[in-house]
Amino acid sequence: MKNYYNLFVYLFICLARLNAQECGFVDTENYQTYDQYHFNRSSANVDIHCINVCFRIVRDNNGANAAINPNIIPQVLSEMNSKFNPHGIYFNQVGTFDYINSTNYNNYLQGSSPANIPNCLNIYFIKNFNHNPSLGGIATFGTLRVTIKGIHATNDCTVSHEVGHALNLRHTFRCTSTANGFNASCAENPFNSVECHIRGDLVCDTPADYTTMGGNSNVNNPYGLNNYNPDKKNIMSYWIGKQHFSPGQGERMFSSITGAPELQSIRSYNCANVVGPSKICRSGRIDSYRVSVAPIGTPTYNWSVSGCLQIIGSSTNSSVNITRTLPSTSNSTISVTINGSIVKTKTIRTRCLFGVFRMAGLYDWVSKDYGDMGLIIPIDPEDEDLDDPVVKYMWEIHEQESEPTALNSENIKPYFVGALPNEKNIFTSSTNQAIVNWGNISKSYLITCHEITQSGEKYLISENYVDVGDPKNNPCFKNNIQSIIAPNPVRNGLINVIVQKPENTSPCNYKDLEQPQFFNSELDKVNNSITIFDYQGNEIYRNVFETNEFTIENVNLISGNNYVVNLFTNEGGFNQQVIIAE
Amino acid sequence: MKKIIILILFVSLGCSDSEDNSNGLMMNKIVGDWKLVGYYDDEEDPETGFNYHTVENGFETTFRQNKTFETTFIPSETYSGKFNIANDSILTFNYTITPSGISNPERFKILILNDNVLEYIAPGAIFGPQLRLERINNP
Ligand SMILES: [Zn+2]
Repeated sequence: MKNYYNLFVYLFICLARLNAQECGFVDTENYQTYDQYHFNRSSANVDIHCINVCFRIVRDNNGANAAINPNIIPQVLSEMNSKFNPHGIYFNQVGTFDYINSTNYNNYLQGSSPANIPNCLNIYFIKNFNHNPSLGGIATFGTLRVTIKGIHATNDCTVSHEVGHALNLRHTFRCTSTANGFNASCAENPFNSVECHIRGDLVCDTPADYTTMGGNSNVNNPYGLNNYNPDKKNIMSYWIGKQHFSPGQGERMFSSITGAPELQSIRSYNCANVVGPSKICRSGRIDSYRVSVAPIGTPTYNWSVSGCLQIIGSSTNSSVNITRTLPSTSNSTISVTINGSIVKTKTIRTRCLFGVFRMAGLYDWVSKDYGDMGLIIPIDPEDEDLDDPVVKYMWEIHEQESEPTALNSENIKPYFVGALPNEKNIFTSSTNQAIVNWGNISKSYLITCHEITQSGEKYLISENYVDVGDPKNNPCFKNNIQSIIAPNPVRNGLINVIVQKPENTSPCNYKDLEQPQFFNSELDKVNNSITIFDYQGNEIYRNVFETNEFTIENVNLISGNNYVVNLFTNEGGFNQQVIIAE
Repeated sequence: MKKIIILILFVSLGCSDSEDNSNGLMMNKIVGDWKLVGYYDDEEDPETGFNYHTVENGFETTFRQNKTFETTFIPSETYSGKFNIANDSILTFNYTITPSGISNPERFKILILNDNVLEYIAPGAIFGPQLRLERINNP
């Protein structure tokens, strides 16, 4: 019901009657307070929680009239994971499902509840709530029991809503829309979120809400429903079209799982992964690995490795430090045994196509006033960690702090095209490409590129020194190297390349960093290395040609798409051209 | 032959009137004074193991024979106007709120109506609340 009130008169009346008894609302006190288990998930690297769930299908006494077809259970579990995973909560299905033959419970008659299976959140599907024929589900915090009407099992996040209750969430309209109307003692104020942690749903990032489903439920509301701006997609609301939990609701559930005694028995390590880099490509580098699931009590850990890996330091802590030894094997494994029985293993690459550091399609010497230049980090699809894929790349131009450049209106430092105005030396790209402008100052810079994975892990994948200087001092004659690609547009996947080099050029002296670099290895001294990338940054072709005239055949190009061709030569030449497929 | 025709007429009249009769019975039954005593929703009460919650000082509704009603809420709001029961137990209200003067229509599905208990819910509400009213004095 819509209510329009004289705001001040009714605010006064409600405040004068701040008493739950008078407002006629009896609240259940089994839910935990938020403060009690508040725990801040501040970074993507924080552990996850894993919850055991048991699916239970109720039938009549004679085995007929099953509440759901078990074939839909994967869909139910998938919806749950899609709604809870963004908040660090994962579900582990224990076994498959079981049938319970009980006509009484299939109709939800009082006193007919079956015993829960211990150590899991029991999700019961029943045919009908006899006394509440419209009802879709029932749950509360602390009982480890969720009951769903079968026909609502995959309907409008009904299961996620009820599981939200089981994990300590309240309705977003709590106390605002009750069966007997507005309850001033605990309703949230839509104008002012003060006390949001003790009012409404006890979560501060969910706006004050009301529901239109209760008939008289909005009586005596002093604020006026037009002044509410509820999140109508929130799973803990009664609006149709539920989609998500808020971050605050995610934190409240996460904290409850961490600390609430009622939920400890359903926690599990079964969703756990070993978390850390998917490759160790360089000897001497030390990487840290850990278990993704937050510790349950005080577990024991026992780490072990195979292949060319070696543990540095303790192997019985929650995380472990690992390095690579020689000779390398292509794959190695890292395993951990938790509590003496649960084994989790991660296979990582220990021999890599690109090594740890890759050239970013980049000279180590460029002329001032070169203008815009595309940088591309080569990607080996086999390097991709399927459990934690790379989602973006972060590029940075570093200047030696010891000799800062005096800036005046004519001096232009190197910058990334498209970077934010106040941080032009940093660029985040969703693809493996960036465009740099070298400015007009003679100086050395370090260009780094990190890949950032879905879980927030950040790995350095490229580090290149670049001298920006006067063209006349170019030590490698790189600008003299040209390539001709014909025809362009490319026809039938055939690409003819002619590399034109000036006579008497000699291999360039590259910077000798501590570790062998891309160009210094034997592999990289071969001539005319060609890589082709699509505009999503995927490497689609790579080969090396000994001659200066060669033809690339059978390249699978999509008609009308643009591609970038990078050419590296033994002399240090680099050329970047755009081609288009006919 | 005459008897058969009369019988058929009687039966067909009886069929077409059955819903009206049932709604009419409900109209008679609902007349009187009722009080909200509790509601069902999707939250289980851990004490009882069921999803019924009691309400203290619930609103009171008077349904009259002339299809008018009045609902009084604490602290001080009153809904008054017309009601009807038709179309498969759908209870409709058309009321004006005092003191705001706002007018609203509203529809509910009656799930239980007997001498002592009236339960209804908004159509399409899959989490509730299903309101439970009890008669406070007989007409
Ligand atoms: Zn609910």
